[in-house]
Amino acid sequence: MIECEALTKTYTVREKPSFFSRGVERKIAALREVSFSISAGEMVGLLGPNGAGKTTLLKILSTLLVPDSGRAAIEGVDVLRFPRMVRQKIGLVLPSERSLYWKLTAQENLQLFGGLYNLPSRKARERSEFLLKTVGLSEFSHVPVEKFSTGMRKRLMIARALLHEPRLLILDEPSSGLDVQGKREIWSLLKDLATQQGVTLLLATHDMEEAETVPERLLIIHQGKIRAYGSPSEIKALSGNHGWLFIDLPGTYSENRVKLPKGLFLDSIQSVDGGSRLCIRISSSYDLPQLLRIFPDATRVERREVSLADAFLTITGERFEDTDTVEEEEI
Amino acid sequence: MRAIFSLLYKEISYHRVYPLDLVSLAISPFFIVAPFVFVAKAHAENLQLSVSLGLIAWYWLSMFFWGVGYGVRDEMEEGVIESLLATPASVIELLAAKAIDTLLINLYITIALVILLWLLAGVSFHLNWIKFFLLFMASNFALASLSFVYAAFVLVARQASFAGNLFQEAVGILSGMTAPVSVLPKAVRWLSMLIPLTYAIEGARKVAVGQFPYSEMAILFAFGGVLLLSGVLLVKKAEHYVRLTGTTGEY
Repeated sequence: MIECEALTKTYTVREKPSFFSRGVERKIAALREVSFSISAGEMVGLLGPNGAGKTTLLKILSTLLVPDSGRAAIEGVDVLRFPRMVRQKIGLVLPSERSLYWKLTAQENLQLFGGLYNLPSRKARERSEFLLKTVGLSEFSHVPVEKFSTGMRKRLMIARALLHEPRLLILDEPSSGLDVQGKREIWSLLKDLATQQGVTLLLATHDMEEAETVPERLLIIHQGKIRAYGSPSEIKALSGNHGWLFIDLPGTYSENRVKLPKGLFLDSIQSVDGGSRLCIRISSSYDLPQLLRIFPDATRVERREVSLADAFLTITGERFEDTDTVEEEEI
Repeated sequence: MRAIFSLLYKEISYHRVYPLDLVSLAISPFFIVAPFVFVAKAHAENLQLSVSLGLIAWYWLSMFFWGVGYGVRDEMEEGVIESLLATPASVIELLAAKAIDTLLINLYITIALVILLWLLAGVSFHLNWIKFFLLFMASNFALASLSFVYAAFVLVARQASFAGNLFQEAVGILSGMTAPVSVLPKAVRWLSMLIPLTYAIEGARKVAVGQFPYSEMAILFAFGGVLLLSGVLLVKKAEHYVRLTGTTGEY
């Protein structure tokens, strides 16, 4: 369904331009030789912090952006050579809710975009009615979009992206700006679309809960490079991090006093809660009975599973927060 | 064509949403045109019609600049440009829809201006209206094509209002908007010959004296053809440029 080979994109920005000077030109590498492939019917999440290159990648796949080098194809159709054909194959959901005509009604928005996807007027109307029902907006079909809540607009954007019955839906942060209830509604809708209609989903997100809930597989992108690819559990396993043990002990302990047998645990140990608790990062060979022999006076042992954010941290070596991607070079 | 009609329907729907804008479009041109017409009346009664026609034609150009030239920027401001660019419809189709909408608006403004100038300024429009309508179509074709070229510039430069205002004012003077081209300094008269609006105004004045402006219409169609071709090529280049630089969502 999607094939990418060595996609590279660098932006040129000017710093401090003025009337007398064009400013300092900087190159910002957004994607660095990104290669991957996605099969038809898959639900794939593109996970990375802000500035990781997610939107750049989605824009290239949806023909909004031309890469510097590399190749991308949707169902075998090259995005650079046949952009119009590619646009007919994909549905795009942008992050901004302003990407709808707010003064028009939901039905008018869908009818307009139906025309842009070359649907005959009657078919556009029928698809609009069907999709408004699918996304739960049929009662509001004649209400201007400006009166909609953020969640309703997001659902309408998904309906718009499905008008021409694309086999691939590309979504850039589809649940951004929504409350918990709104997010869950969108996630449930996306899962239904993928399972019931066989639509392939490529969803960019920096929301860990979204990444664990919707996609079957994840592409971890960081600083313009794909760092890992697999199911959320595979990503967690790939990180080599198998979780933590919290051991409550009578009295206070310093992590320096505790010697752990090599190979049994990973070497990370930390005393917390003023020394009354030890936190140990465990490996796959962790053995609870042996652990209890080392800490015979332990009053409580609690195991905490590794989260996707922990795995991301281990794989990329960075905290999961906004980071600037990129190396800069002055010209 | 389906994309053009859908986009045209959107433009017309927006007029429905903002009905007061339509009222303003009917009235406000009069207040811009009227002072020139009264000055003409003060000097010679027969100058009124000539000046009125020059200003009406200049208004056509102005509307195309704002409607088509800044058409892509309007969609950028609305926030929908990336949604539009992600569909199989092209920027050319978007501009074509805006050009047809502007042509309809120009017809509306022209009718409103003729009525208001007749009622409030006493201008007698003794014209052959069929000839005038044919000239209107030829002029609007040429001016719409010119605005495609300008749209390519706006797509790349994004904030180009200063250039638009300057260009419209200069073109207005050079094309004989108020005074005939013959009174301009000889050094700039050749520039007038390169502006399609010159032929639109000259043609309208010929219609006013009962002639059919064959040569002006032929020149306007020729200008329109060349400018449309240039405009389409330039818009395509500009579209590729914004897709290359990643500025599709910026303005």
